[in-house]
Amino acid sequence: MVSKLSVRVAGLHLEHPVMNASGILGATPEHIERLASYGFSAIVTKTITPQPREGNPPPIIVEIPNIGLLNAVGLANPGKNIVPKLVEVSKRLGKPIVISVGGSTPSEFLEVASIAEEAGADAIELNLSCPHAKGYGIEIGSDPYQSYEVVKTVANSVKIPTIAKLGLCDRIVEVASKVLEAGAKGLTLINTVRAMVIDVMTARPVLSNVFGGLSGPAIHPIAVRVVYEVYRELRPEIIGCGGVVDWVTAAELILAGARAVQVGTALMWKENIVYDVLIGLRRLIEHFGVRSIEDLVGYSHRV
Amino acid sequence: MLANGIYLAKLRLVEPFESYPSPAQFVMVWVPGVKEMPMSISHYSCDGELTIVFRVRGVGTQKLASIGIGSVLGIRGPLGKGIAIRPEWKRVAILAGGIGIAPTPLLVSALTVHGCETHLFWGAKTRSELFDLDKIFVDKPDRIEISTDDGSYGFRGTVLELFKSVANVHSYDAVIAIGPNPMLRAVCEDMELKRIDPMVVMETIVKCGRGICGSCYIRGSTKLLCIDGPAFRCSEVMHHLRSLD
Ligand SMILES: Cc1cc2nc3c(=O)[nH]c(=O)nc-3n(C[C@H](O)[C@H](O)[C@H](O)COP(=O)(O)OP(=O)(O)OC[C@H]3O[C@@H](n4cnc5c(N)ncnc54)[C@H](O)[C@@H]3O)c2cc1C
Ligand SMILES: Cc1cc2nc3c(=O)[nH]c(=O)nc-3n(C[C@H](O)[C@H](O)[C@H](O)COP(=O)(O)O)c2cc1C
Ligand code: FES
Repeated sequence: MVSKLSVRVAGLHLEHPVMNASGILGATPEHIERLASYGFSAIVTKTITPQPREGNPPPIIVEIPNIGLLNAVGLANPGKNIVPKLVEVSKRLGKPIVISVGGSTPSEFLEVASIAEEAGADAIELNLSCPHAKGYGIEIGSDPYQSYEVVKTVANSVKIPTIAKLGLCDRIVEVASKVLEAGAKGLTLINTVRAMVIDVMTARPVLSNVFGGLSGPAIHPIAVRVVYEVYRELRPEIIGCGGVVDWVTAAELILAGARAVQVGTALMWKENIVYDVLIGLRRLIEHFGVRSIEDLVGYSHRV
Repeated sequence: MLANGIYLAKLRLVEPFESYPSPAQFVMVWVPGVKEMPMSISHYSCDGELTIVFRVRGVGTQKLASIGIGSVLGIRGPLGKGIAIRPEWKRVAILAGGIGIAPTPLLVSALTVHGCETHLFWGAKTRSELFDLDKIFVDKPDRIEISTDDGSYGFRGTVLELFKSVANVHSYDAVIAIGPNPMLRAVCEDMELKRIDPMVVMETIVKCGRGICGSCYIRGSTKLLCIDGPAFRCSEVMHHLRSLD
């Protein structure tokens, strides 16, 4: 049964295709332990930058009923020295660990990536897509050439797989193609989408940062489209992310071309989501009469 | 204003809470354009009137204290798990330190509804931080004892010292302590010797209040204060309390 669900993606061998999305916990050893208890097949850390970051003052989230969540945590993290401790807990719990790496220059990305490799992490996910931290994330990731530089710098120097996490932008296929050329073994698609909420009683933007990133059900169809389009054009190894709230939303990303999926926002409502997804995916394998979940990757392109 | 730097605010919710809050649950109070802060629910009436009691600490609480009647605030909640009252509790001791008094009115009311006798022990630094408890309690505790660190009112010493000198811990079915972390640590360490595992209502830094940002984590534990707490057993948070110096 287990093997039907096992997948390989970007050099990782996973017991099943459901990992957590970066930034939902994942910044302390205690967080890693909690994420492991949710049943994920691999743990992705919060994005770690070389120096500690305080992040934004609250309000940092706004929940929008039935739509999703707006957040502007602001890449709050304890800095690179935490990395070995995060790796250690994950290893003790027998889970592969992906260190999400952030930076504002290629050398900053490399600084954290090198520590991750040395500490024994299984892969690195480069955050080229956070939409609400000035000088980070999508500000680099929406430019194919800057993205290329970051990925090349890291992929040239570290031996563990480099995954590039990209966000919604007009030139997504071009960026994807550039980062693969630069040596990325896989892509995580997508991050949150830049958005805002205004409180009508006071006319003020709610988030202290004004803009935040939208996640959850609202962005799921966008994620499906991006995964589908990038898979169609480039056939890379993709980890799908955005609005996975049950097995159906996970399955859509897989059928569109993702080899694995990540779950973020849904954990706020459903801490046992992993099992729900796995039960559903097993049924889908039977439904299509295929051998394993890997046979369903990109299936929508073949029917 | 209730006392030096301590305020009570009554807030009218545009939409009442979906469910009646449990003791120790909290809300996120947004002072528009300033910041959002966690505040315990002191009292709540079903028509949507929420009472909070707070002490001025920094910019946020300062601003909250200075806004006028009729101002608009944002409220998210009730958040956290709250204290589940056990049917076998017949008599409960509540130890409150300083502004730890804030959640006690809701707690006393809930215990009273369950037919439980409540004894409140309240400690403050000095007399000017005390106020008339009738101003915040809807249901009154069956017994109230007060201490000040400097002896300017009531018993001279900490609330734990007060409790130990005037009450017998073994005559209670539960002990619930609320206050600053050093006080909670002292209570837990003292009771540990007596093989009692009291409940403590704690504070850590709460930013999202929904279990996703991780800022409120309990050190040495997989628990998150905002969704698993803020009430814990001493045994669950001892490592955290000890690691704070
Ligand atoms: C679950 C919970 C319930 C609380 N209930 C009450 C209450 O009923 N009455 C009351 O007076 N206070 C309560 N507090 C503490 C209150 O949230 C802080 O005093 C307030 O956030 C301080 O904001 P400030 O801008 O005035 O001060 P700041 O200058 O920002 O900080 C002063 C101190 O307040 C604490 N603090 C700051 N930000 C936070 C935060 N996001 N979360 C928690 N603590 C913080 C820190 O210890 C800090 O050193 C509660 C805290 C928690 C976690
Ligand atoms: C509170 C919060 C914090 C996040 N922090 C990060 C982060 O540090 N790095 C990152 O690459 N993505 C971060 N994300 C984006 C998620 O990893 C994910 O891409 C996005 O939320 C979409 O997935 P979801 O709809 O399942 O939440 C964060 C999302 C949320 C909601
Ligand atoms: S405050 Fe964000 S997880 Fe508890």
